[in-house]
Amino acid sequence: MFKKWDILLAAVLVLLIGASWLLFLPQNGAGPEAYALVQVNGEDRGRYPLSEDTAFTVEWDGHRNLVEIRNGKVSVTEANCGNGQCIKMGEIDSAGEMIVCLPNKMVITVESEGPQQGPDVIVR
Amino acid sequence: MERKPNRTAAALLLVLLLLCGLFAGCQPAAEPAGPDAEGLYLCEKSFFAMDTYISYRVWGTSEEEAKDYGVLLEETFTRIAGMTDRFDPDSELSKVNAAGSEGLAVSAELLEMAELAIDWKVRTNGAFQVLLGSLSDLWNIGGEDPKVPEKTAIAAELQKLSEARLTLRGSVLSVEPEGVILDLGAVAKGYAADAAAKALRQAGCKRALIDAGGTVITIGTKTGGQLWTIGLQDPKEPQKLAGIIESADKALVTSGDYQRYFEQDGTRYHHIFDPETGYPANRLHAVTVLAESAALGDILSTALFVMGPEEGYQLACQLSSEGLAEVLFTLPDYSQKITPGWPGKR
Repeated sequence: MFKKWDILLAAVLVLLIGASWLLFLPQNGAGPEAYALVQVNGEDRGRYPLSEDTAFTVEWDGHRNLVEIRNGKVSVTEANCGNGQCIKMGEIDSAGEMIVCLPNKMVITVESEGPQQGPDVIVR
Repeated sequence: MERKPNRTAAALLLVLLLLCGLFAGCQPAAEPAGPDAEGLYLCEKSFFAMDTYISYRVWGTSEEEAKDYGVLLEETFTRIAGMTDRFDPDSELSKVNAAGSEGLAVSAELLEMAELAIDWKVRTNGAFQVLLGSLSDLWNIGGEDPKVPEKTAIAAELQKLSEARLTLRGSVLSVEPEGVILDLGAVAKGYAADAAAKALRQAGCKRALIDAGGTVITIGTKTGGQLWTIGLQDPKEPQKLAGIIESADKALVTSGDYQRYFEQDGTRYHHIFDPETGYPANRLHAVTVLAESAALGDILSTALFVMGPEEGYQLACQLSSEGLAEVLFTLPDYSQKITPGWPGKR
């Protein structure tokens, strides 16, 4: 009943659908990708995916914060701000959460792709 | 054999449709670059003023209008921040402090803040006190290497405070005796948020969300008349939310022991002082106030935090019955106590 063409078409169809699922599986499986948006004095310095472990120094006008992304969470581990409030804020990983270093005017905000999940704003 | 091309085309079409479906389902919803469903454009920015990170979202009928609203908001904040900066010798507040008992004729805005401070000191039985400048300097919380001051130094501050007076004669504001320092930190940020919201409304802005640290103020509602959702930071685990409320055209202000503090010998010393003891108030973890104005929210969140769960709650219920404010207290065991009109449940 089935000819060679039909079997070939079915195989192509299954392969294409399978490949497209594999392509998008990380997003569907792990939810929307989260990023740490780093800003200094109101200017964007970069967006860093929380899925990739890294550490970097944010410097501006003599101010310095060491930012670490580890196991899907971002934190400030060293700072020359004097009061260390940014280090005390610990690790954050949910959209809308924020670490603010007032003396160094450095802000880290967790952002998430896709539709907004949390409230419009958080009163801190 | 004639059916083969049709079948091939149909199969390819099916594959295409399935792929389109997959792509559509996985794509993140991008932020629309143009106007929203109500024809409003968003301007979203942040800046630093009053030792606070301030972020805002303002909407206008064009991109330019939205940006203009942003500029107006930042200018208003910056102007009031400059006026009330007691560490800037050229600020209006510093001139009042320098004039001391002789007094100084002040601007309408500083006058209004002073009136609020005087009125609410009375209504809160002295819990709201703006003459704590030198006590605050002594503790140096938020500064470099803060330490618990000597008991004798705190006693000297309390003695000074017992004689301290803030007086208004017409528009002339005086601070006495010598050495007493007026610090409007507990009202200025809320006042600036109100002033910014007022300026935006007068300029025609229909929708805005301003987040100035522990002070949030909203104008209008979201698209389609939806209320704003405001998350409340959990004082026990500041990375988590203690609840979410819905609000429109209101201000929400929080004062907590987790905001600015240092630790010494296992004890946390935060930035909200009890004028009776000279030490940080320690009867509550946080007070969140929902009010028509951010200035009132600012004043009440500080005063009720100092007053504590009994006296503070009594006053909060009175204010709730007057329609002035609704309050959420976070008690020493992290349980919550709310006034009768607090919106929703935690």
